[in-house]
Amino acid sequence: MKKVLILEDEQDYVNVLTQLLEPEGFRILVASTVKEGLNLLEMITPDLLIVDWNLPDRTGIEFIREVRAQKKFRKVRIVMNSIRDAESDQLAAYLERVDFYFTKPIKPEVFLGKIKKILE
Amino acid sequence: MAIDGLLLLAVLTFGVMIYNSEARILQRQILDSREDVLQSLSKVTAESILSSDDALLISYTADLKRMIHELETAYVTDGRVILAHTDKNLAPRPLPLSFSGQRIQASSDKLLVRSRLKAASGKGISFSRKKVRVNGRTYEVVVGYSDFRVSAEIQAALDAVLVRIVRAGLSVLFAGTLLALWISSRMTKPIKRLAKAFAVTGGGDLDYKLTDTGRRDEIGTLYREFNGMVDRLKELDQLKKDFVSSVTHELKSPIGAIESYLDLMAYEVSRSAKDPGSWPAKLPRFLENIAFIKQNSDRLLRFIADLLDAARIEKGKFEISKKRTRVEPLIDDIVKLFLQRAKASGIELRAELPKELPQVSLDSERICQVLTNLVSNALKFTPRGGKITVAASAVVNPAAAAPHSGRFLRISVEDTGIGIPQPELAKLFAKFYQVPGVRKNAAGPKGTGLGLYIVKSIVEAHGGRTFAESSGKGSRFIFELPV
Repeated sequence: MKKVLILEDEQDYVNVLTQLLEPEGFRILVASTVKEGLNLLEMITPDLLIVDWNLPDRTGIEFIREVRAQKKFRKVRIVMNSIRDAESDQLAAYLERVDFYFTKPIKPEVFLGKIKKILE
Repeated sequence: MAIDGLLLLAVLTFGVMIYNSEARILQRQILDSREDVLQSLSKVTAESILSSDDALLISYTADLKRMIHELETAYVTDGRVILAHTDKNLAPRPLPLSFSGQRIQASSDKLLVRSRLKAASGKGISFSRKKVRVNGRTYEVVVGYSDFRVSAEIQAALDAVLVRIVRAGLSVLFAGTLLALWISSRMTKPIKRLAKAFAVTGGGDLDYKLTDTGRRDEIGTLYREFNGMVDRLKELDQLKKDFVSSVTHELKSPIGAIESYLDLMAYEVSRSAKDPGSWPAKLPRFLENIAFIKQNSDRLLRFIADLLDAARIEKGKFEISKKRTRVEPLIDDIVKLFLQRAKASGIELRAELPKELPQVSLDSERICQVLTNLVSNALKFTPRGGKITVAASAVVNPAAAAPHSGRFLRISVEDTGIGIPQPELAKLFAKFYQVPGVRKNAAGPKGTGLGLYIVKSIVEAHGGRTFAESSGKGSRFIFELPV
């Protein structure tokens, strides 16, 4: 069973992602701050990280940078899921080696299809 | 060059004034010197008669003409004899003289003119006379000046003055022009710099700064004011950016969530289109999602209402309709409204009202909005097990402005939440301001940053004031309405 860590502070998106991913057989973990996310990563190495940009304590980009800096997470797939749709934001995320950049709102078919492809 | 024109005018005016006064002085000097000569000749006459030394008087008189250029003639007579004369041939001689068949009396001016005076001079001679009494006898001393020579002398002197004036005027004009050029270059250079700075800033570059702000003159003040203006523009620009990003986020966020829920449900329905039997099992989830959608659309509506309020406040079109009311029922209503939510969050919410409270003239709907805002804020920032108290009391503030009696009704909402750092207390009521880093401690959806701004505006529209206090452990929001 693939493990997904959702780093998201808005309950609505957590709800939608959970309802979308659970039926597909993913195990869902949720963190709402960067600190919580990093703590969770101490215990579990997920297959996929779904990261929001605007988080209460720090940005999702900073979180990704820290994760990418650790060797043990080099196989972890990371996608960004943010309301920020500026090209410059997307570029910044790709420079931190995210595998894909989703812009909110979530489009279920595209989202699932892309994630499955990334995890292949 | 207007400065040169002005300078020329000034030089001309001064020149004419100096010329005129110089001419007056010269004329006066000539009169004075005539008087002096008359005086000295009288003295010499008296001395020579007293010492019976005619030679002194004769040679002195004869010498006068050599000494004083404008002097045409001078003589001394006792009425019978010419004792001395500038023309040595005429003295001493007894009077009357017989001259070309004419008898000439001592008092006659012809005596003195003789034929030697050029007819061309034409203007004749001006005489001055003086009587001197020595040893009981009266002598007459006479000097005659040639009008022509005098005026020629004055003219020569005035010509010299004119030359001096013209010379001085030209050098003043020259120096003035140089000075004007120097001043104008000193003035125009900074003005050109300023103009450039305005153009650059006006073009949208708010990072352009003028250097040389240490100048002690007015230009330095202007430079400093300019830089200050750019700083304020930058602040405004940042505020505008914050506003836009804040509004965009607050509008996009609930819509994004609503759309995500709808897309998710549509996806699930389409996925199980061929299996209608599985639909009832999905219903509870769907109902839950619909409740979330409702929450988001409520949040959106609230935000839009806040935005409209803020816009009305900005435009100065925020109106309230006041009525004399008791405030206790309003507070009770709000407490009742939030009681359920407080209980669910494990927070104790209660009102603390004294028996006798003054009636206040207020817009009850707007004051309810204020109370709702403050209580829901308190709920957001108070952890489980905390306490929220809405209290009211009558206070007296003698320093209150004129139209008020100085008596106020004070309403406070106090919580045992996370508190507010001191430096943030004053900024809280600014539009879109949210204490940085505080959101992770807040329960429920993010605020709009407009709530306290609207609270403050409503209270101020009532003639009251709003402020916040925090001791680090919990905070208290207070507003006062004039009684």
